Amino acid sequence: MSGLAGFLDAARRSLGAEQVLDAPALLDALSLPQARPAALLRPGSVEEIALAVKLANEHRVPLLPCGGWTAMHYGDPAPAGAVALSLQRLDRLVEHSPADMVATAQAGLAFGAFQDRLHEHGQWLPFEAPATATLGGLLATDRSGPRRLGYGTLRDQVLGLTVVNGDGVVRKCGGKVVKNVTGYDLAKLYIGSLGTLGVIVEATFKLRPRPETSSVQELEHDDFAAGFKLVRELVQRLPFVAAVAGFPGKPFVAQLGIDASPPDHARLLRELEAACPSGGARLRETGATHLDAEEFPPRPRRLRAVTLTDGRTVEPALAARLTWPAFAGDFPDQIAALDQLAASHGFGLMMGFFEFPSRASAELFGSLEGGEGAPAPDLDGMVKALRKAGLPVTVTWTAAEQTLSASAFGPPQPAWELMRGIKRALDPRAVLNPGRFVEGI
Amino acid sequence: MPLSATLLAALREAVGAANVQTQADELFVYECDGLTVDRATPGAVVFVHSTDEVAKVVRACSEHTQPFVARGAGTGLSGGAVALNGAVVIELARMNRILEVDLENRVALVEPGVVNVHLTKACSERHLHYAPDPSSQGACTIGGNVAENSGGPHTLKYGVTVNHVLGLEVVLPSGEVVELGGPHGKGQGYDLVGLFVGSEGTFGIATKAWVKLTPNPESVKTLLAVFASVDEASRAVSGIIAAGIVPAALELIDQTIVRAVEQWLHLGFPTDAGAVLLIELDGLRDGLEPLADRVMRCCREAGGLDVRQAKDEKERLLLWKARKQAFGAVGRLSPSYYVQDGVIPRSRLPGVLAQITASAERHGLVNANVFHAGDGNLHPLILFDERDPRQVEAALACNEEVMSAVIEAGGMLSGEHGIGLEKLHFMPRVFSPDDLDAMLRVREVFDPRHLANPHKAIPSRRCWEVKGHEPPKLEPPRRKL
Ligand SMILES: Cc1cc2nc3c(=O)[nH]c(=O)nc-3n(C[C@H](O)[C@H](O)[C@H](O)COP(=O)(O)OP(=O)(O)OC[C@H]3O[C@@H](n4cnc5c(N)ncnc54)[C@H](O)[C@@H]3O)c2cc1C
Ligand SMILES: Cc1cc2nc3c(=O)[nH]c(=O)nc-3n(C[C@H](O)[C@H](O)[C@H](O)COP(=O)(O)OP(=O)(O)OC[C@H]3O[C@@H](n4cnc5c(N)ncnc54)[C@H](O)[C@@H]3O)c2cc1C
Repeated sequence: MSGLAGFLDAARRSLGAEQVLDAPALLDALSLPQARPAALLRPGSVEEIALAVKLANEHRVPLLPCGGWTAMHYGDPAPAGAVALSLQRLDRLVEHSPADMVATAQAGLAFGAFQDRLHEHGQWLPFEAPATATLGGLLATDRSGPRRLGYGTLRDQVLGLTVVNGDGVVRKCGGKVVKNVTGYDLAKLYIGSLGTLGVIVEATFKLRPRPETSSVQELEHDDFAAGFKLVRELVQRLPFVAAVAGFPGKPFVAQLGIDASPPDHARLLRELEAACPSGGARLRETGATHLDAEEFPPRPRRLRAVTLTDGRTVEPALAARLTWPAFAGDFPDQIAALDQLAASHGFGLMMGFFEFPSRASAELFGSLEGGEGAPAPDLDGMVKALRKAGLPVTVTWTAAEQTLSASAFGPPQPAWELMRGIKRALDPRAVLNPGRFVEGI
Repeated sequence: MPLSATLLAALREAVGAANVQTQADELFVYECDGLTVDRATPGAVVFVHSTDEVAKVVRACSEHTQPFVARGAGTGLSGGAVALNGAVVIELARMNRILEVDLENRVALVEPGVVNVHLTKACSERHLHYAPDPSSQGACTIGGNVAENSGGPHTLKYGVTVNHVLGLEVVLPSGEVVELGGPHGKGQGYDLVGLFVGSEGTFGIATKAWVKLTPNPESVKTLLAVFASVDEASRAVSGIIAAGIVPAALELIDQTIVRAVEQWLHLGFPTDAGAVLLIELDGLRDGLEPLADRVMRCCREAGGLDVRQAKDEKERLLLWKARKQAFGAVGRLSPSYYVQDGVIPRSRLPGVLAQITASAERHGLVNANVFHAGDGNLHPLILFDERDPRQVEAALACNEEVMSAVIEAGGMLSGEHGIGLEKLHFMPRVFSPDDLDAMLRVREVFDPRHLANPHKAIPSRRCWEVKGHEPPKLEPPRRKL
């Protein structure tokens, strides 16, 4: 029996046939260019996950841990014949101690459901993310939202983790107290590891009181450079919890998040108003309390129409998303350079974003049929050119027709040798998401 | 254990003969760190001045399979810088340059020997500071802070060292130099910066650090709340946290400490109080007054007798001076003290503090408390006389009971001082052999031969593997090792 068949057989016996799904319709629905699972396992406990990982070791079958399946496109392509390992049945809030501002939850719990439970006690995890994303998925991708400015990233809020490593052994790190240097902080390794070292099964978070007043203010400016400068100054001087600026944006638009007591909130509003007296700057209350960098400014997936130089308007489709670390001062030049490189590689820059303090990203559209003399979109060439120009971009998403021959994460770095060692130490047979992370990890 | 002549020659070659000390009277100073009960004589002490020198020294050690241990200011409180098995001490205090301060982007690049408070001083004119502020900040180094993931009073609101380190240059135990992260943070792949911080010198030697600078708050209010007992003060702490208030700092100081500080510094502290809370609030000036009112209400509800506000900056600094000199003041009360560092859920403070006091009394010892109460990070001090073996025994026994109380309350062994040498034998009580095994495997990626600060932070396999999953019985290493 082939590795896969033998594995599925053993999994059916130990997890129950109804938890091993391989109906073609389901698999088709899950399929992404970067991940086409051969089956989906739904273990119901930490022990069952450990068992599944041990079986995968025995039968040499790669596993794709997964939660809400909202970001399975992220990373280099998964190998064929991999089996998805769903965390969705591990969705319990294990413990919430409001007096200690600490909560422990299973990794399959959806972010939205987790927040709802915390809200009942006036507490929250200070993040925005899709409600259907799971805690495990958020931790594995470490895709923290714009509130990073005020609260740091997700990694700063994690107190402890339980994981099933690649050898099928259940291990803990950290604890349930808000300050802790007992043993190495292996949680830092698992956060943002894209599930390549261990399946995260449980996490303990440090919580925050919900702010008394919370709002999102939108600042518009006729001029990008002046608008961006104004936002930088505001963010430097005053304690906004989130700030996202868009490029090119006509007009320029930025969103600023405020979480504060009523007097502080009023003060920040006064400061904002004073900063935009005239000169093309306008302030608008959005009515929302949440910012969403991936959906900024709010718009449908299919974008607003783009007007071509020959006067036609077309509706371009999203072709790729890129992100890179940056200082605010460098962003305008970087995004302008990217805009030009995009054009010469058959893409248009739909939108660039800067999430303060240090995350830049860009969305590209391609396949503008009939764009006069425009080269055919060449994502590979464009990404190479960007990296050559010194912009260390990560490709976080591509449309099905855009392929990438290089790694989504860029060329090898000196420290990656250590990372390979860590991979070997915690997933010796490389059963977890093999090939999906940096340098073939 | 004397070093081989070839190794000594290589070390002298690397840093110059004047920077290699081997005489007993020179080595004596390096026998221990701030925890004076654990001592060992180093094989040599080597003063380094650059990354290149560190790399050469480490490479020489590596070639001779010679253990080595990094040392900053030696203020550590867990025996982390003790040179076991004749290890070579690599003294980094002379690598003390601030290489770059980028005010615009609020990051700085420093050498590991920079004294914590010197960085804050270097950018204070521009209203920035380096946020992690251990009470020892006038002496301890950023490199030591990185190795221990140090905290301090203001880490309650601003986070500990790991939240402020963006990148590191590290000399690996092979002598190879690597960069982890950088001014923008961790970079692609696994978060090796976050992993290195708190690794207690067992992954290699940090030779540069990119750190964040934090803007000074617009406005600060410092309160001193007076209570009849430690119990009431700790209830006030639990109450403030449960009310969803995050002060900048929330420190508890008990009567023994208040009296010791008062006798020494004459700051006007209430010596009849059972305990005081030092509470700092900061932020925009608009919301500070109402916040202070809420905090005062929490204090009164817990039985607070009086809440005073520092009326000016001078008074505020005096209050902090008292807090930061507290350990020093204890030195005037007792020839020796043992300070523990357990962390517990904040709602458990009153019960655990009572247990600690009862334990000290049972052993005929005095217990004093001055700690980061807002984080639940205890620092119970057990006073004793090192010259009296019975008292040493009693202090160690009391220490074991304190740790047990912490563990039973769902706490952890250390909040900021690290495991070092001194808490190793407790590790199997909070981690399973499998958990510890993962930590050792990761260590061995950096340091397969355990040359970098061996026998620290994580107990070695032979300590727990022999008996399978039985929690091992380790003798705590004591006195001269
Ligand atoms: C503000 C914000 C907005 C976002 N908006 C969008 C959006 O509009 N569209 C979008 O597609 N994404 C968006 N994301 C990103 C995405 O939602 C997150 O990355 C999310 O955390 C993925 O969660 P999931 O449960 O869906 O993970 P999955 O998609 O199931 O998995 C994602 C990755 O994590 C790994 N993984 C999942 N669970 C575990 C586990 N328990 N242990 C180990 N590894 C695991 C998987 O192997 C995979 O590599 C947004 C994120 C943020 C913060
Ligand atoms: C009075 C007093 C008050 C204190 N208050 C606090 C407090 O509030 N909060 C707190 O967290 N701690 C506190 N401490 C403990 C101590 O100051 C900290 O642990 C500090 O970070 C140690 O720094 P150091 O330079 O003295 O390091 P050392 O004691 O020299 O070394 C500590 C450890 O770090 C390693 N190390 C040193 N430099 C490097 C390097 N460059 N690379 C790799 N490893 C290295 C050493 O090998 C050792 O294991 C206090 C200590 C005292 C004496």
